[in-house]
Amino acid sequence: MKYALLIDVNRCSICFACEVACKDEFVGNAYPPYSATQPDVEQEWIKLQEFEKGKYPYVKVYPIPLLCMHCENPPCIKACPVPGAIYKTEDSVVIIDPKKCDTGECSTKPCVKGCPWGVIFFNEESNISQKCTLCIHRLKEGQEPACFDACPSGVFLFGEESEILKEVKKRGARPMNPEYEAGPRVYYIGLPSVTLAGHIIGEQSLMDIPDAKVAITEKKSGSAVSCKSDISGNFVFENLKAGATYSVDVQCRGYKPKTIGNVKLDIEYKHLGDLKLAKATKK
Amino acid sequence: MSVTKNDYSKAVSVLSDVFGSFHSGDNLMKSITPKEIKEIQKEKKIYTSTFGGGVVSTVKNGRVIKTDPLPIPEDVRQYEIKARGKVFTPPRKCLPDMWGHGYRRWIYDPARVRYPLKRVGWEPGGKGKYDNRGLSEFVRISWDEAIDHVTGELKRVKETYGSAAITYMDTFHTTWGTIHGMGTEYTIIPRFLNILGGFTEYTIGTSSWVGWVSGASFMYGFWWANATSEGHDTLADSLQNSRMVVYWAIDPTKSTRMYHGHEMEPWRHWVREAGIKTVMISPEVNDTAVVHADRWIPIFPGYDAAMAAAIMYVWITEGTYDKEYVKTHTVGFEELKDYIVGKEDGIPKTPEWAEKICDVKADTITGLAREWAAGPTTLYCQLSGACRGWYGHEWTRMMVALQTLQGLGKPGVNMVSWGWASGGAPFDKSIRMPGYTTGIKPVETKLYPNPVPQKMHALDVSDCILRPPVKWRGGSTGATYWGEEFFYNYEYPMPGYSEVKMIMRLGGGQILSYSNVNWRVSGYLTPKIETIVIDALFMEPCTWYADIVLPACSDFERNDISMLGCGGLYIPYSGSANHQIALYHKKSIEPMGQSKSDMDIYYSFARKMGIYEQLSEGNTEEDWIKKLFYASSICKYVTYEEFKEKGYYVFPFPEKYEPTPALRWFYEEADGLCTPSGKIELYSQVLADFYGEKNPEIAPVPKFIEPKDGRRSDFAKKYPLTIFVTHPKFRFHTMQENVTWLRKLHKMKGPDGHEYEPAWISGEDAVARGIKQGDIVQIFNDKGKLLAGAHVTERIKPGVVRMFYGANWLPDDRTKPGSLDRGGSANVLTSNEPVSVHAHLHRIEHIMVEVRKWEGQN
Repeated sequence: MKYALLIDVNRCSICFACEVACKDEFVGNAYPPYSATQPDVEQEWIKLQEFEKGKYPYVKVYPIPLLCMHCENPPCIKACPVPGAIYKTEDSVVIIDPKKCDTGECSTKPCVKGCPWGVIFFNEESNISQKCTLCIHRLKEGQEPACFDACPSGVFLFGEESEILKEVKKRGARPMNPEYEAGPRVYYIGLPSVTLAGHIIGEQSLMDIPDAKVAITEKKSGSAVSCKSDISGNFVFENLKAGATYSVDVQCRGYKPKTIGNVKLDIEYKHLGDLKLAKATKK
Repeated sequence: MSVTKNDYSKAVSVLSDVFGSFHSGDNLMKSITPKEIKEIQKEKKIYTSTFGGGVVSTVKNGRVIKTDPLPIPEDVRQYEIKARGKVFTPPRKCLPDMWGHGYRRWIYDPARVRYPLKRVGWEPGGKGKYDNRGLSEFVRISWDEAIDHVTGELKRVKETYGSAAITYMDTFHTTWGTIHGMGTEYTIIPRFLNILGGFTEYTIGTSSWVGWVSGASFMYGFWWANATSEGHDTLADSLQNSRMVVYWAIDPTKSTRMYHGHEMEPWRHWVREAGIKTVMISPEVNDTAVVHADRWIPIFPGYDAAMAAAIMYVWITEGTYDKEYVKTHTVGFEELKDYIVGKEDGIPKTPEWAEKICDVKADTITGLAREWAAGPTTLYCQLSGACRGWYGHEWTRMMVALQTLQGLGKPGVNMVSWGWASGGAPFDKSIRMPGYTTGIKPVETKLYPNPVPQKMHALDVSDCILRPPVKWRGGSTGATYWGEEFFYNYEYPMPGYSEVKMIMRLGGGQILSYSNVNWRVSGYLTPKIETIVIDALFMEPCTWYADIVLPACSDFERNDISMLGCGGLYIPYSGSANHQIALYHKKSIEPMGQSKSDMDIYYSFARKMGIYEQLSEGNTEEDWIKKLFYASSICKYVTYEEFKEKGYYVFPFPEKYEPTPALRWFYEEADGLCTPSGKIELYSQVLADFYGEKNPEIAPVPKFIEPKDGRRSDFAKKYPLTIFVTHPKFRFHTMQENVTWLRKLHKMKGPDGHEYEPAWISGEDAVARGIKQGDIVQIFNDKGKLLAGAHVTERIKPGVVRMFYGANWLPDDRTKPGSLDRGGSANVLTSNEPVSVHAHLHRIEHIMVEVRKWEGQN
C-alpha cells in the first residue's frame, strides 16, 4: 500500500491545531526505529504558513500546511551519503533513520540542503536530521497522523494512493513545485496562483446575481476561459498569466452585458471589485 | 512485601521521570511500593476536558506524554441534520484546539510555582515593608508556615477591621472543573469566607458581554444568559431555512473555543456546503472571514450602530420589514421609526449618512439591506467585540432591532453566538449535569450567605483602594444580571464598614484582561493593602504583587466530574459541543512539586480555623464527585463504579428527537419574553423612566451615539489610529502565554532576540509612518505605552490597529506604573472610564492610539 495526501487549502481555518498536535506527538517522545524526539521549539515537521495576496479591501489569504512530501524520487535520499540512512518504507513513507543518520559524514547537512521544500531540520543537540514521518508509528496502529487527526476543518484527505489520485483528478489538485521532478505525494487544492476575481451585483442588492457567465480573453493570444458566478455573485479565475492583459465580459439573463477591457494582471490577486449590471430594458 | 534495593532504585528513576525537573513531594519516597511502581509505569488513557476541548491524555511512568482528541465510540448514536438534500453529522471525536493540544507543554512548563512563597520583607500584622511589592523577591516557606500566615492574617484583619476588610478577587477563567477550577472559585472559596463572617465582594462586572447585558437584555430579556438569546436548534434552523448568514463584528473561528475547542467549526463549513450566502462585517479579514465569508465589508470599529440604523432605514422606507410581526410582537416601533427616518432629530439615518460615520459605502449598505430582507437571515453576532466599546449597548440593541424587523423566531430568522452561551446543535434536553459555575451548589446542604453588603467594582478597584470614597451605579453583582441591577447605587466604603485590607486571589492573569493595567497595578502598590494571598500555577503579573504565593495544581493533577463545555450557570447544557459527554475527570498525574488543588488549600485553612466541618460538610473530593454524580442525569445511565473506571460517558442522541428552535415559541405566541411587556421592546419604558428621553448616552430606543474620544473627535488629532483589542488566538486570556509551542506561532523576534507581541497595521498606515514588516513599534496614548512587532497587512482597514490582549506584561519597572511595556499587553492602553452612564462596565475596545517605529528611545 502506498499513501498519498490531499490538502484543501480553501477549508483551512488557520487554527494551527495541526502544528501544535505534531509538537505534542513528538516533543519528548521517540518512536524507534522511525523517529527521535523533536526539539521543544525548533523544527516544524508540519508548518502552517499564511500567504496574503491582493490589496485592501480585496485580499485573499492562503493558509498552506507544508510537510514532508514523501516523494517518489526523494531528493534527500539522493543527497544523503550514508547508505540506508534515509529510506522509503514499503508504504512509501520517507524515513530518516535516527540511528543511521551520521553527522560525522555530513558536516554540510546535504539532506537539509537537498530538500527543495526545506522540510528537513538539523538537530544541533543530537546531531541528526529530522522530519515528518507521516506518523508511521500511528499508521501501524491504525491511527491517522496526529496533525490530520487534530484538524477540525477536513483539510486533509489521506489514504491509499489510487483512491487519493481519483480525488486529485476530480478536484483539480496539484502537487507543489512539480518542476522539481521529485514526485511529491502531497497534492494541494487552492495553492496561490495569478488570479482574477470580482463580485457581480445587480442594481438592487449586494449578492443577487448568481450564475452570471463571465468570460475572460487574453488580449495577446486571444485565448479565453469562462466560468459562472457563485451564489453570492463571486467569480474567480486562477492560474492566469502574470502581467498579461485580459478583457472581461459578463453576461446575465435580464441584464445588459458588461465588458471591461484592458485588465492588466499587475498583482498576483487582482480583484475587480463590484461589477454592477444594469437591468436590460424591455423591448 | 518489602522494598528491595533494586525496586528502590527503580522507584527513584520512575519518580525522577514523574517529576521531571521538579523535586518530588516531601514524603513520597517513603510510601511507594513495588505494586505502585508497576501501576505508575503502565500506559494509561485518561479522558478529560481542558479549556481547549475534550482530550484523551496518554500517561506513562506518571507523566502525560501526549493529548489526542477524545474519541466518540462507534456505537454511540450521533445527531443528524437533514438540510437542502444533504445530511450533516459531526466527526466521531472531540475537536480540541491548539490550547488543548498544547496543554502538556503548559502544565510541565518549568515556570510552574512549586512551593509556597513569601515576599521578602512582608511581615504578618501589616508591619513589613511594602516598597518592593511587585519586584517578585520571594523566599520559599513550608505549607505549615504558609497556612499559619494566611489564617493568622485572616483572623487578625477580621478582628481588627471587621470582615469587610477582606476581599476575594476571582480570576479570569481558570483550568477546567466543577468542584475544582471555577467551581471552587464560584462556590468553595466564597463559602469559606462567608462561614468566617463574610467579605467585601469584588464584583467582576462583565468584560466580555458588556453591551449585551446592558443593552439587548432591556429589549428582549435573557438576563440569565447574559442577554444572548436561547440558541437551541438554531444550527438546524439556519441550515434548513436561512438564506444568508451575516457575521457581524465576530470571529468565532478564532475566538469561540472556550472549553470545547473547535466543536462548532464544522457547523460553519456546513453553512457553506448547504449553499447559504455569508457576509462578514468587521474591521479585519479575520480567520472566520478567510474561510467562511463570501464577502467582507470593512467597517470602522465602534461605528457599527450607524450601519445598522441605515439598514433599518432602507427597510422602513422601502417597506421590506415584517409589518405584521412588528405589530403583534413588539412595542415602540413608532418611536424607533421616528428616530430612523429622522422625525425625531431631523436626521434621516440614510445609508449616505451612515457612510460618513462608519466608512461603509452607502451602496453596500443598501445592497446588504435588500439582500437581508430578501429571505430569512441568521445574524451571527452575539457576544462579539462591538459590544465592548463606547455605548456598546446601542449596537447590541440595534442587532436585536434588525432581526425583530425581519421577524425574529420565524424559521431561519435567528440570532446566534454558536458556542458561547447559547449553543445550537441538537441535543438531549433531558440531560442534567453540573457545570463549572454551579460548582458544589447542587449538593451542599447548608448555605452561607454573605453578611457583608459592601462591594468593590473591578472597573475601579484602584479608585476604591487609593481614592475612597467611590460611588457608582449599576455594574454587576455577579456572573448574571437582572435589569434592576443597573439602577442600584453603590458606594465604597459603606458607612460602618472597613476599607479592604487583605486580598485573597485565585489565579494570576486577570490584571491583563481588564482595562487600564497601569492604574490597576497602582492599587497593589500601597501599604493600605496589608496582605495579598494568591493561589497560582505560574509567576504571572498578579502573582508578582502577592505577599503569599500558594502553588496550585492544574486540572490534570486532581479528580473532578464535569460535562464537556458545560458552564452550568449560563451554559446550562452542552449545546455548544457536538456530543454530550460526562467526564469523570480522573487525575492524570500527581500534583507538581508541593502544589495542591484550590479546594485542598482552602480546606487546610478551614482545618486550621476550626471551620472544616462547616465548609466541607465532611466531604472529601471523592465524596463531592459522588454526590454530584447522583445529583445528575449520568446516574441513570451508568453505575458510579463503571463511570469512574471508564472515565467518561457519551450520552446517546435520542432516537426520537423533537427540535424546538430558539424563539419559535415567541414567534408563535407573541408573548412571554422576560421584559415588562413580554414582547420585544424597541422602546424601553424602563430606560425612559430612569434616564428620561433626552439622556445623551442612553435613550429609550437604540441610537447611534458618537464615541466620546473616537476617530471623528479632536482626540484623534493626537492619536489617529483606533486599536481594536480582541480575544487572543494563541492563549486563553492570559493562560498559555508561556507555552513555547504557541509562542513560536505568532511572536515576532526582534533584533535584540526578544519575542514581541504582534500588532496588525495596514499597509497604508505603515507606509505613512515608515514602518516595515517585522519592525519594532511603539504603540502609545495617554494611558500607557508598549512595544510590539509590526505585522503589516492588507487584512485590516486603514486607520485600525489590531492586537490580542493578555500578552505577558513586561514593564521596565513593576513598581512604576506607566513604564514602557515590552510584553505588548494591550490593556496598558485602555481606559477604565466606563462604557456609558448606563453601563458601569469595562470598555476595552476601540481605543485611540498612535504608532511609531521604535528606535530604542522613548
